[in-house]
Amino acid sequence: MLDLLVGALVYSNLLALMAVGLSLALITCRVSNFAHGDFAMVGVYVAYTLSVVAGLTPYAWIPAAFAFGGLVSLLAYLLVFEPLRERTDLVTLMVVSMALDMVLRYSLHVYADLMQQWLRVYTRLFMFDDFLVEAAGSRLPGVLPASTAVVAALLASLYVLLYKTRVGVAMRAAIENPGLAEALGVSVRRVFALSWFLSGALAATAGVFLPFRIMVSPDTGWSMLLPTFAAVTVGGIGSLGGSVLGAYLIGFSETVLAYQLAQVGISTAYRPLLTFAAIIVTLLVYPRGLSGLWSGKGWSLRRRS
Amino acid sequence: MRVLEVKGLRAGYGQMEIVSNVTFDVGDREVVAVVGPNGSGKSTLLKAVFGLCRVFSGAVLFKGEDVTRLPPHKRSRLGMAYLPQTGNVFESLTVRENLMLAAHDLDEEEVRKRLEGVLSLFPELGGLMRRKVRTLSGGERQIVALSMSLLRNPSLVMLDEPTAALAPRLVKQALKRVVELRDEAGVSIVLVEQNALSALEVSDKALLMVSGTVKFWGGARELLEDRELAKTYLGL
Repeated sequence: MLDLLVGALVYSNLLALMAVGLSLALITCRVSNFAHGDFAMVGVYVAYTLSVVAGLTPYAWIPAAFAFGGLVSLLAYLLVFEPLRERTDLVTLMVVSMALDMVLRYSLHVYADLMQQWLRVYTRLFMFDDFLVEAAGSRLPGVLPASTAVVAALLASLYVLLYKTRVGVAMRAAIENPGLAEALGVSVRRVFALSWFLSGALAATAGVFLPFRIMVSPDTGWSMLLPTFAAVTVGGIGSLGGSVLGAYLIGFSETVLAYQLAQVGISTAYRPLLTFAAIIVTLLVYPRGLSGLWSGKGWSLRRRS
Repeated sequence: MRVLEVKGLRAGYGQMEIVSNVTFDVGDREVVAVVGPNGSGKSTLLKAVFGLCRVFSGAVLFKGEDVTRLPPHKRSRLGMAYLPQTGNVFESLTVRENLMLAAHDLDEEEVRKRLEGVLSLFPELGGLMRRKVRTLSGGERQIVALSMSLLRNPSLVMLDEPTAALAPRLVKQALKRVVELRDEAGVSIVLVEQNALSALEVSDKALLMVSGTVKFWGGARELLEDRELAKTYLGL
């Protein structure tokens, strides 16, 4: 049971970072970014490469993964989404993000091949070694306190950035009404670029925790997309607070469902059933998601329709 | 030097030309009313002057500098301010945050000074600072929007139907405030208004637009006295 709880919490922590990042892309460019999972894998390979080369634990390379993932996401925004933002429709943007996913995923495959030749390590289906911590008479994997502390620190920092700084006010304003923000002298392009940097940086940070729990390869990011979209949808599309809540709801539900399936001898491969169902039911029954319950209050950023 | 000069402007959206060959200018501390029937291109003209829609040809000069190809945020930094008819405040932000945003590129001392200036023009703002804008009345929102523009110390303020959200009895009062604004803040004003009579009464010059073209350009009083134009196009 303890292992189940640990697994659920780590998975939910990771989903929370992914979901907040995806929401940032959604509320700035209105793009359902299918390349978001690849930003997580960028984080994985940055931490893996540096830990192999420098010999330190992958945890030590979280700042590097954060920065590099943010940079890749920033480039995606500046080179692809910003030029298209005002002159194409949502469906085209989504298709473009799918194409970007392919480009990034196959680039990661090429990198994995090169890394394998260069560093003589397995670059697919690998896991990171973790440390154990003693707590209340139990031995817990280090990824639990590490991911919880990092998620808490990053979300708190994001909150402070958005609500206590001038840049944050400009971000919230540009998200709500880009035209007016521009009219007041705010460079919406710059503000959205920062949002995209944060979007990729959060996903890449989440990625670093992944190989502590499951075996990863360049395709793993794609499989993380569905629960991330589910968390964002259940939480309320466009709401950062809702995305966090949705992430923990989906993370715990999925983990418990997988456990129950295993208990009755059914393959845990069917666990995405729950996430698909959660998306459909939310959109059918209450499209505003959990954040609709406190709409207008708290951590809720929305763009004018 | 003229604060604003618009020369042969043709503008619109996509391939569609809404405004054709419009020429007018605004002098220092002048109020220019842009009037005309619905759909005559008044709002599009303001958007084109501020860089928010496509300009096919012509030129926009601000204090003698050609700004035709400048993005809106750069025009704003030069001293142009534009207040759209709707969506002119950030509803999810507090009044204070809206004002701080308008002054986001100034240092704190300058913000404090300008805020004092705006509060002396609109003392009622003082009690609203912590309120979310979505909880304010239409009139209060217009005051917030106007204050945001003034915080940037503009030389030119372009107002797109500032009385649209107001009760009819408040329209004259609001337009009187616009003139006070010109006198106290020392700005030039371009005013797009549906209430043509009220707008012309407080303006120095008038631009009458019909189907995207200029039907009259001259003194506001002259337009009021031209019975044919006033009756045909303004219903006066």
